[in-house]
Amino acid sequence: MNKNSLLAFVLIAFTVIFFNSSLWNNFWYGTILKRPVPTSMTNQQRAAQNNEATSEQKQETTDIRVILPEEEPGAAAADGLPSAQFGQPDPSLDADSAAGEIVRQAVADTIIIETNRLIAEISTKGARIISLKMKDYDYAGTRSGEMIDLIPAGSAGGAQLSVNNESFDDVFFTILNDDINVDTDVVGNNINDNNDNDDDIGNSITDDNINSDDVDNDDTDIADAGAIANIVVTSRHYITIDPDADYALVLEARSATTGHPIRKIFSFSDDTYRIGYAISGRNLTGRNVTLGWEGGIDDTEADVSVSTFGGGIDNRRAHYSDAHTVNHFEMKRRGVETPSGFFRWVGKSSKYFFIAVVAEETVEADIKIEGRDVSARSASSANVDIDYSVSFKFEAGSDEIENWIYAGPGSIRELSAHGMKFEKALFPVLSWARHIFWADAWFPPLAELILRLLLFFYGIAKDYGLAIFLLTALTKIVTYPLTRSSMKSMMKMKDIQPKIVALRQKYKGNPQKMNEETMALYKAEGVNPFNPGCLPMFLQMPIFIALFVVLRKAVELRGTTSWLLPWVKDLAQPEALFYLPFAVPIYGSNVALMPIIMAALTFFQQKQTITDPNQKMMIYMMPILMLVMFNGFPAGVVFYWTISSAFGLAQQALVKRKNLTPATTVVSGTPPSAKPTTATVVKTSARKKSSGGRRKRK
Amino acid sequence: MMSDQTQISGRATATAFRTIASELTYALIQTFKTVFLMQNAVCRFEPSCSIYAKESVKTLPFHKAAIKIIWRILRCSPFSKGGYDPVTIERR
Repeated sequence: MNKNSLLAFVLIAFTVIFFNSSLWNNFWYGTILKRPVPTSMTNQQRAAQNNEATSEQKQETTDIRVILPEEEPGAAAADGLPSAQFGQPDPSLDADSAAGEIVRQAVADTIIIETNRLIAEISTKGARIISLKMKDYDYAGTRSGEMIDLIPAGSAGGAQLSVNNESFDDVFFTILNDDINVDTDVVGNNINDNNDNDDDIGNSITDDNINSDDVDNDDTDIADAGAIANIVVTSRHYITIDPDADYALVLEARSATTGHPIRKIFSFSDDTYRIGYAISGRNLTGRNVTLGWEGGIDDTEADVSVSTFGGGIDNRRAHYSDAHTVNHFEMKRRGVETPSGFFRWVGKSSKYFFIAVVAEETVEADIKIEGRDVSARSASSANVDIDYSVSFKFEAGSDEIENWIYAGPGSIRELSAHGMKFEKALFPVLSWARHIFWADAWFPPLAELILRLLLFFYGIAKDYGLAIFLLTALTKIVTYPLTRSSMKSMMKMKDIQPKIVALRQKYKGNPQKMNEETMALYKAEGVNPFNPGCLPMFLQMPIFIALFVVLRKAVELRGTTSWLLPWVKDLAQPEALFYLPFAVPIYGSNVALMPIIMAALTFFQQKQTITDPNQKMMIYMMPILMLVMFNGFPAGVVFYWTISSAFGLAQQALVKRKNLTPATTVVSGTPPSAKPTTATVVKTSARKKSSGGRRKRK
Repeated sequence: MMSDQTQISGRATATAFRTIASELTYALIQTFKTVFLMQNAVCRFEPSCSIYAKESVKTLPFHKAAIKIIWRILRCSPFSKGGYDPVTIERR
């Protein structure tokens, strides 16, 4: 290692540090992208912001408020102020006409429907999904222990509808279900903290479960009050659906322009993340229906990525498809993309979750994907800037169109169960990477195969650590012939290296002669037949990358532990034995065990393979690099790399031991078996000669 | 050959830049090999692909060096015979 290579390493380190420094971030995000730099907030500030956002959302969804006399709010409620007259469709029940009359004011009711997978909240204002909680998944990081709500606080939610460009998102819908009795609902106006809502949900769920009815109309009243005199009264209806039967929620509103009723029918069933989203209406046929999902996907992972490389957060992506091929899309800045053609669905994904709006059949549609800047929402990561709102506009083929929505985890089993090629959204090849050897075509299936293998091994081992171990063993066995012959010839090369150096000295001015002599030496030592060369090593690389991507992104690994690695709390997060009080640049603040083991293994490996005194520095440089680089990677990924490297070392030792004793017999035994190759060697050397000669003549 | 060398040595900064670039290439290849656990890879050629890359960045313009490196790696497979294959500078 000379001065120059040292300088090269310093340059690499400097570049990496620079592009992760606040200096660069300020420049890039502040100047180039013209938007405020996300500032890091404390947990308290973040919680406060969230609360603010939720209360804003509540006020927005319950736009029409029951304005009670300021002095005695309690008395007014006791009078049984009729808040809304649902059940009888009334065109005057929209926002504008209700403004003047207190008595006829509509209240945005919230219907909460719980299946065994999710809890959806649907507001009668616009009949939109305003909250969608995943029962099986909890937030990571600062909000751990809380169920993930796919719809970010303060966003417009999902299941938007407009017909012939008339939006129904602010129109109040009537609940047509007999089992939801709205008239007697609104009584209370007690001032509740927002946080209490969650508790109430929990309580009523347990109540509901006791009740054996198909659907309960057990209503709990919560009055959300702002600090001001306007008191917002909402009623909330809890419905737990029966495991054996589907439940359909029918909401109706009248179009302000045509006067025709429009119905939105949400249907839920157990064991699925699919929500039926049918639209029906008189004379709907031939009209342009736009189905949308404006709210994005909430940040479900830890905000603070502990170090540079790993990162817990991925960019959001948008996808659209005709149910055969899937197009992927990622924006770096806000913007709008409007593909048109025959499509079936449009969706968006975060690292672990996926939402799609699916039409009844493949139709000629105008899709609109709008990327919005949400950097204010995430506390510290500069990565999550853009979230998408999507819409799907098409001509209704009949008066009732059976669309549906998928909103749930991006697990391959769930996604592929619908036959919509949702699973293709899991491992998209984006931007520059798709130009490398048609990565678009072969990488997603490869990653999918590896994920399925991982799940297969998990099915056997019932432990993800063990499953990763088995998967690694499998890849090592598959590539063993390659590595074995490579190792064998490496040993040989090591032996004959002094001879080659001597040849190089001897025929310094005569490349032609040098070539001949080298070939002769190779032939005599029997090097060539075993050596696969560099290209096959490159061909192994996609497997590595696919494994890396799968282990990093599989939602199945999220929050899992393994008995093989008892100190790891989450295989999908960087591990930490303990935390340093400060963050080391690139390395991060967590001290992980496996990268240290890996660095040690790399050291031994390098010590064995590197003999060139010029490269001595590499022996010490590489372990440090591995340590720093892998420290921020998810534990599952590092575990894979560590055992893979250990396997490699073991193989090397094995081949070495086998080759040490019969080395001489192999060499002496080579000439007869290498006879057919001799001719080709001569041929190539002859070709080399002629080409060399041509070069000389020029 | 002579003219190339005089051109390069005539500009000391260019030489230094090339040397660093070639070392950078070599360091990156070594890093790459280590990260992807490919230290066991053995080249069919002499000098090996990484040295070849280093030398070609040192002596050739970058686009030519890139083409040469890619072509060399593509050739370094069981279907070729390997052997002595140094970086050659083609002169007009």
